[in-house]
Amino acid sequence: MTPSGVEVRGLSKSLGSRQVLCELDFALEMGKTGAIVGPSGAGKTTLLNIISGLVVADAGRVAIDGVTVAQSSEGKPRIHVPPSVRNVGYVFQDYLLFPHMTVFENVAYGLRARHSPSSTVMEKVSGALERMGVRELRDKKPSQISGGEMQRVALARAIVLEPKLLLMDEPLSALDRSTRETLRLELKRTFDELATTVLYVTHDLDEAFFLGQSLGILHSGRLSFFSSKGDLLGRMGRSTAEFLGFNLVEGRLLAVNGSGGTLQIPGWEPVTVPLLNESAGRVGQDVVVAVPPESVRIVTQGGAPGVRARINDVWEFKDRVQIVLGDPGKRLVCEVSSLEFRKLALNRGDYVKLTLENALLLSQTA
Amino acid sequence: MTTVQREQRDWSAVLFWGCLIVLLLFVVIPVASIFFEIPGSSVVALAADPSTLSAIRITLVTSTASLFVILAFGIPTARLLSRREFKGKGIIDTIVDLPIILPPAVAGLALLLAFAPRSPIGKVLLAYGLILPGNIVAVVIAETFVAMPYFITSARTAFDEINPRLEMASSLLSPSKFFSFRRVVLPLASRGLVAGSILAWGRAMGEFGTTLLFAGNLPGITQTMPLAIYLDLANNIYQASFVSAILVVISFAVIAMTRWATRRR
Repeated sequence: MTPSGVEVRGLSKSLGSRQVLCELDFALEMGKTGAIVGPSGAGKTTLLNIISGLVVADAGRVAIDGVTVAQSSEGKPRIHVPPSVRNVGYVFQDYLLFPHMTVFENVAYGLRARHSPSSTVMEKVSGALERMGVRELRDKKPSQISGGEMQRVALARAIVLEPKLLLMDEPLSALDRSTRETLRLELKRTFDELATTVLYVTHDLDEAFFLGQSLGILHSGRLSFFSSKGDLLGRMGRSTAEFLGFNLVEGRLLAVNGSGGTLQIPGWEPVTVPLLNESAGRVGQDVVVAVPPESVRIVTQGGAPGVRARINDVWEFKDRVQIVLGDPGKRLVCEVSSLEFRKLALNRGDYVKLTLENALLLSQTA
Repeated sequence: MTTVQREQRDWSAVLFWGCLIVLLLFVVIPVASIFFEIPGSSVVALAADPSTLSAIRITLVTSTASLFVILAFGIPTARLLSRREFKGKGIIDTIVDLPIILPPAVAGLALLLAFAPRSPIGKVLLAYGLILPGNIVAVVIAETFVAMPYFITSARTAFDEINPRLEMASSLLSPSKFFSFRRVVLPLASRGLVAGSILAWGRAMGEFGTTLLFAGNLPGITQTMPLAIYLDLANNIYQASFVSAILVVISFAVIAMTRWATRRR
């Protein structure tokens, strides 16, 4: 049997009196990308820190490529392989590039620490910078490059050591929407090319669906489930979608073309929506689709297609804003970053045009 | 009837500028007096005086040696106090800072009682033929004693200011903690370390009371520039002024270098 790329069993961690992780169990197939979604404070970063060896768990076991790298019980570590020996790449939320080093030196750091010959350093670093499209930035300091470029450099620094496991902690969360979308595509391409096991944590459901082959939901330190995307999509019903905070929209599936479907939602013009799961067999039927709030997009260009809806409410959080659109019976929640909300300059009562960027056909209408 | 309000004179600005001018004069006049005291025609003769040259040499040698000792012990100590929490840390902090407040006479006496040949440590040193009082090593010890806290305070602040998550990222990439320390921690703290070194070096050069009590004032052996001034004051005011002027220039340079080292770049 092929060992899992990463396997976590009975993992628990408390910080003071707060239980951050509670008996987590999952296994991610070698070479696959797993995405774990959860809100802020769900324990996502702690989970990655434990897998990487930066934090010691109170209980449980972590194995990478079938080798146990950490095992704890009763708050004491029994096995603890040092972080640098686990061969894990880690891209942090704030990238953590060394500010006094150039981009080249940042990427070369791990190789130099391992006393690689300078010809190897030159070759591997150049290769990693080339792959991430940041070769021309090699002599710049982190303070001289943009957030998107920092993300690419951080990934280059992680992959240059050819890790068995790549951990990504919300690497796109600090970026604006357009950069995020470009990088999301690049990340997917990179993950496919690398064929390394990747564990990606995010609060963005849309991002998780796009990047993850397996998906998990982490809430208050508990993992609701962890399974392949196909399995999850096939099983997802109304209650799970509601739990995940998706918008539920009822309508009739008029047509399916490629990976998209045309929906007739009562009171709206027909809308075309990219569908995340198989839908060909349900043309002409009444369906319920689940739409992540991040996939409801407000269109700012005048002539662009979209459905007109009124802003009924605005809920502001720390770094994001939820805009409640439409009538009470057909309510849609759209989520944008605080920065983007300020750019949009919207108020309650305004009418906006919206499109649905992704939707998931639920397994049953009721 | 209309009333015209006369603009009030801003007396507070006059007061603040007045205080600043008084304070500046309070420093500048005495310092300038040193330079005015030196007869221009005797500068070459004063500079060539063997006792002055010897005092300059001893001052430079001992202050530089004490700086090396301070760096060797101070960097690990500052790092430990910055990053680790342990029982009794508050007391240790106070002990490390104590020489800043301790009167020089008390520090000198303390060193004398601890290292003089009649003390337990002194007896051990004596067995190896070393009597510290009257020896240049005592000058280095006295200077290290008083200057060490200046370096540790500055170095500790520099280590405190490093984002600990950068060290965390480094620990993932580097199997060697020493490599991380050398390539990440030290460069990031370098500004504070350089500033602390300059301050400590300057303090060591100006050391007087502790050295006088512990090492003595022996020309050519333990006589540093401040001690030479003290001796010259009684019989050669020009010589004392000349040596003082050198120290004023060095002090000015130390402050300028510290400012340069700590400025944001």
